[in-house]
Amino acid sequence: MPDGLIVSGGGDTAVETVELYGVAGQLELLWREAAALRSELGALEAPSGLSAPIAAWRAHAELDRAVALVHQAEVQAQFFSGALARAADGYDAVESSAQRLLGGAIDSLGGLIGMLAPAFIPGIAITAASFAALSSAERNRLLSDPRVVGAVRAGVGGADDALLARAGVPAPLAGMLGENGLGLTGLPLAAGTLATIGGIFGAFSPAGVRVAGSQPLPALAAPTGFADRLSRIPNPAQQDGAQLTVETYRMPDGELRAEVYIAGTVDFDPWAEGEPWDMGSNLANAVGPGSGSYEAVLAAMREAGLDSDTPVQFTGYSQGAATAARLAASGDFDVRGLVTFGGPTGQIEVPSSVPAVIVEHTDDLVAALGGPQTNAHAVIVERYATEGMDFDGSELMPAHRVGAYGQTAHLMDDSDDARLVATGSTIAGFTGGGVLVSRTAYEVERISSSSSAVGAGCR
Amino acid sequence: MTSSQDAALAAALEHQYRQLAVFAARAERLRTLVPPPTSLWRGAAQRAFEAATQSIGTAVDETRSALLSAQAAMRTAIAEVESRA
Repeated sequence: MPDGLIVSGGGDTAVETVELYGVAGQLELLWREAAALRSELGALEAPSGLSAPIAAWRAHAELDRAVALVHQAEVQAQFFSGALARAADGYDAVESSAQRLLGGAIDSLGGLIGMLAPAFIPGIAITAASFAALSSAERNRLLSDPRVVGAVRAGVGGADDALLARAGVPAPLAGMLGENGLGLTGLPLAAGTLATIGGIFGAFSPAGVRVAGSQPLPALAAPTGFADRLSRIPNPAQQDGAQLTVETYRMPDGELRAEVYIAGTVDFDPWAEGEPWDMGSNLANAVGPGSGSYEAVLAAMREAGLDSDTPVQFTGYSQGAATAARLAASGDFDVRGLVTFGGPTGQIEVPSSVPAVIVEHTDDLVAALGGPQTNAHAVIVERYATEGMDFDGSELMPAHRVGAYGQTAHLMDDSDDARLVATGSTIAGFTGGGVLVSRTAYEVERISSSSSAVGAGCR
Repeated sequence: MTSSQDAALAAALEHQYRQLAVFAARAERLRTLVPPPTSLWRGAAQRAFEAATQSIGTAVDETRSALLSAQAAMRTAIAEVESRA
C-alpha cells in the first residue's frame, strides 16, 4: 500500500472471509426479496372476460415476463449466496488448520531447541560476544530488523515448548498441553517461569496498589481518530507520574460511558519498588490478569466511579496495550472497544465480541515479545516504521517509540481501508455525541503487602 | 357492456396500476442489493464472480423494465375503458 500500512482483518487471513460472508449475506437478502416480489407479482390476476382492452392483456404479458425475470435473479442469487458462504466456511477451516500446523511447527522447533540447549551454549556465547562488539547503531539496526523481530515473535511462541522439553516432558504431551492443543501452557508458562526465577532473586515482587494522586485535565471533545486517541495516553514523565487517564461521557440517552487510556512501562528496573508500570507487570501481563498495572487501572476506575457494568473502551501503548488487552480479555467489564499500540498482545485472547484495532510495527521488538498474534477477529495494522532509517544517533528501538506509532496513527486516520474505517467508526462512535463529564489523570503506586490500602487481590 | 361494468373494470385496472408502481419501486431497490465489483477475487474466479453478479443485475434491470412496460400498458388500458363512457 502506498501509505506503508499493512491492514489485515483477521490475523493472517489471506482471504477476507468476513467480506465473503458479507457478500453472501447481501445476495441472500436479494434472493429472499426477489422471491417475495415474485410471489406478489404472481398474485395479480389477469382481467377476466372479453371486455378488457387489449392493452390490459399486454400489461399482463409484461407482468408474466417480469415474474420469469425476477425468478431468474432469485435462483441465481440463491445459488451464489450459498456458494460464497460455503467458500468462506472452507477458507476459515483451511486457515485454521494452517495456523495449527504452523503453530505446531514452531512449538516442535521450540521443543528441539530446549532439548539441545546445552549444545547451543557455545554458539549463544559467540553470538552474545559478537552482538556486544557491534556499535550501538548496528545493534539498534539489528534489533529493528523485521526478520529478527519476526524470529523473536516466532521464538516466543515456542518458548514454552523449549522449557517443557528441558524439563523432560515428552514432545507429544507438550504439544497436547500447548497453545495449539489444550492451550494450558503457551506464553504464560514461559513468562510465569521467568517471573518465578526472578522472584527467587528478589525481582518482580508483587504488592498491592493505591491511587496516589489524581489531576483533572482540560476538557476535550470525544476522541475522533486513532492519532487523537494515542495522544490522550499520558506520558508519566511529563504529567507528574500519571500513568492513566479516565474520561467519562454522558450519552444522549443518559448512559455513562468511559474511555481509559493506559501508558507504557515507566520503570525498567526488575528490582523496582513503588511503580506498578514495571518489568514485573510486563511479565505478569504475559501470564494473566492481576499485574500491578492491571490492578492499578482497576483502582483508578473505581476512584472515577466506574464499575463492571459501565461501558468502557481501553486504549493502551506498550505495557498499557497489554494491560488494556488483559482487561478486555478478562470478561469482567462491559468492554466496547480496544485500541492498542506497540503492545505484547499476541497471546492475549480478546473476545471476538470486542471491536479491536491492534497496531504493531513489524520492526518493534516489544510488540513481538507478545508472540504470534492470535486475535483473528481484530483489525491488525502493521508498518515497517524504520524502513530506510539512519540509525546513527537514534534512540534505542525507534520503531517502539510513541512518536513512530503517532505517525502510523495519522496514516490510519487517512487510510480508506474499509476494515479500518468501519472499526474506527464503531470505536469513535462509542463516545461520539456524548457530553464530557470528567477527564482525570491518575497516578497509582505499589504499596507493601503490610499496608492497609486497597491492593492487588483485595477488590 | 354496461357503464357500471366498465367502471368496475377501470377501478380494478387502476388498482393494479398502483400496485405495479410499488412493484417497480421494489425492483429498483432490489438493484441496490446486487454486489458491486470487488477485489476479493483474482483471475478466473474474478471473471466468474463478475459474470454472475452482472447476470443477476441484468435480470433485475429487465424485471423493472418489464414492470414499467406493464404499467404503461395498464395506463393505456385504463384510458381506453374510460373513453367508452
